[in-house]
Amino acid sequence: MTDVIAAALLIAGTAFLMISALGLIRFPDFWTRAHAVAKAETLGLVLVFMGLVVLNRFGPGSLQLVLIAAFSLLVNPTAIHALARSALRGGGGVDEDAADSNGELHSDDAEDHR
Amino acid sequence: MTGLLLVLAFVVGGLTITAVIGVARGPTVIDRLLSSSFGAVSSVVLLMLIGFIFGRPELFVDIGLSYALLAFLFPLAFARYLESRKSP
Repeated sequence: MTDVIAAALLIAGTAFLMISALGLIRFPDFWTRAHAVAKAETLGLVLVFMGLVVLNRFGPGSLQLVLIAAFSLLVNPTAIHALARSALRGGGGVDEDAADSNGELHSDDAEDHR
Repeated sequence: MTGLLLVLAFVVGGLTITAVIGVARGPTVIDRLLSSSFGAVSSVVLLMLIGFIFGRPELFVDIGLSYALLAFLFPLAFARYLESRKSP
């Protein structure tokens, strides 16, 4: 029974990681890629780690697994948010030719949002 | 159970290679940083799966914890750097 719960959590987490990688490869511009990575990846990592804690039967090392999951839950969306903010403020990230070919981000829009 | 863990480790290893492809392909610096952040997280997951496959999780979680403390913070530092470089 414990193995079934652990396997379900592990497979669900890996599926979320795969969805996140698919979004990273297939989405057209930076904002949608950041959307895919920030949420689906964090959820996938937390699900995989919960599955590993259940598989470990809350034995030695489970505390570190929970700590990594909690730290990732805090820091990973914050880091992606900081990347997106620096891209919005035009801090050397999104160059204007690529943004124009994607048809979304122009430097004037970034100026307006500042 | 080890068979399932092995299959999942191969899948997550493929996702890490996907992150490397994203780093090589991304048109801007920010895209490459996003892909490398994805690679850091998926390699932490891969490290934990390898620890459970080897049957020594209490050995690998400490390595994973220190790697997570280092690797999850570097997009923050790079974002601060890129933001401060061009700001008036």
